[in-house]
Amino acid sequence: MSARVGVAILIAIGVCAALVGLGVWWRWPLIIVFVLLVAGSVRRVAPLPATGYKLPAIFFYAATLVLLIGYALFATLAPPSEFDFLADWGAKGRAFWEARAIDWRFLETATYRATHPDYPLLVPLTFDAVAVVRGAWDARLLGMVNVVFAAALLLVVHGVALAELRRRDAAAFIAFAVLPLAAVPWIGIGEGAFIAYGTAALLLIRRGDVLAGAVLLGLAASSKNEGLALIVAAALALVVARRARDVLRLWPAAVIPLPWLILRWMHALPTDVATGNVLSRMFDHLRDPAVFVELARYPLGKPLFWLGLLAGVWFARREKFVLTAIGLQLLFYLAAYLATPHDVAWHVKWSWERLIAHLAAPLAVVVLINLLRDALDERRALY
Amino acid sequence: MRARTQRGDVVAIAAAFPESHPAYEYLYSRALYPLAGRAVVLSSKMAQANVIAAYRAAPVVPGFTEVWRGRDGVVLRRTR
Repeated sequence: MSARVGVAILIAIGVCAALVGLGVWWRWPLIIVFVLLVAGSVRRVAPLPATGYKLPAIFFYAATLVLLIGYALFATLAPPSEFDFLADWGAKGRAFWEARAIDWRFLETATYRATHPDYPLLVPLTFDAVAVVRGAWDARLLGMVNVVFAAALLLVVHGVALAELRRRDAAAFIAFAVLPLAAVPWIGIGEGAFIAYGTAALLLIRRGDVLAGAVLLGLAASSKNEGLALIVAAALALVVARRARDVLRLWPAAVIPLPWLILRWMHALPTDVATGNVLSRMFDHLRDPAVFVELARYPLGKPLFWLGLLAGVWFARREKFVLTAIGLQLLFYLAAYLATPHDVAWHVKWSWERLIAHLAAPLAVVVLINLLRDALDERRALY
Repeated sequence: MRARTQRGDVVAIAAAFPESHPAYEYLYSRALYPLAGRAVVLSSKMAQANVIAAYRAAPVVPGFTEVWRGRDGVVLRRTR
């Protein structure tokens, strides 16, 4: 059930953001829609026949809850201070709040690269939904958006792990282990939403729940432009995983971001990476090793974490769909750096760690599920 | 600045450095959030503005009067 509740929360956030975008700036409709969508997922179903030790399971559930509470305190300690919140996500949300509508003039006159007028609006409109429910623009409260996305993703991860491993202690451990990847340090910007939607989408599609996964993919593409690349990566990965028939079932992923793409085109909101002669820039950057020098220069978090994760990929080698999708997405990110019209060093410095964080969560989940499954199988064989 | 401007004001961001300088880009982008509800324009579009927010500068602009002065700059408002 936890996966269903997590998915419902993620979809409910998207629906509420869309309602605000459509002009529903009233508190009660948003609250009712959110509650109905989430409550609708809490149906009584026969519990999965799960086993496992009770005490470790309780420990990991409690530890996850305590850490989430800590994350909530961190996220709401002060108004978000990320530059991208002030120049982009928060600035848009607040401009729309002031106008009580999507402020197209604001987007059309956004002069500098930091404001990214072409970015999809799910996150700023979610901020507005929070402000509508709160009755005021309360920047500190917006940090809770990060917390809800992280919690929803952990519910999905827990549900997927429980369905596969049939052990509560193992599922609780995986949710606990993935928490640092879901609870991103970047408060008030699009990363938390994108990681939640993208990771949950890949996990559901991997399990065969293509329709729900496709909806979440569409919402990932409504959170950040990288989501459009993730749709392509997921479709190609399905082909590689010999599930080509499922590609057509991804149609919601294409339909959900479509209105924004049309509006973006109608209002001539430029995408910086796509401006000018993209191919020429890519060839120029390929001839110059600066991109790769910069990529090597900036840390991607803890080296031991990555060593462990990459070693674990061996145990997850059967995961053709997720590994291919992640690999292709990484290639798309590298291509974006090659195509950047900005200073490469600047672009890499301010985005590389965040982009890699997009890939770490789904990779960690499939590695942990496979590691634990192998360990549990070996243990069963021994006894 | 937010307290010294009103919704609908058109605020030009002025500074001691040119628009092409990265510091100006930072200053302008950083001003968008606190000035939400106002139109924030570049210093080159001062003719459109009824308010000028000058950072670490005190420009004298015909048609504008200084209405506030602080350690980090001045605010000018259009008088005609």
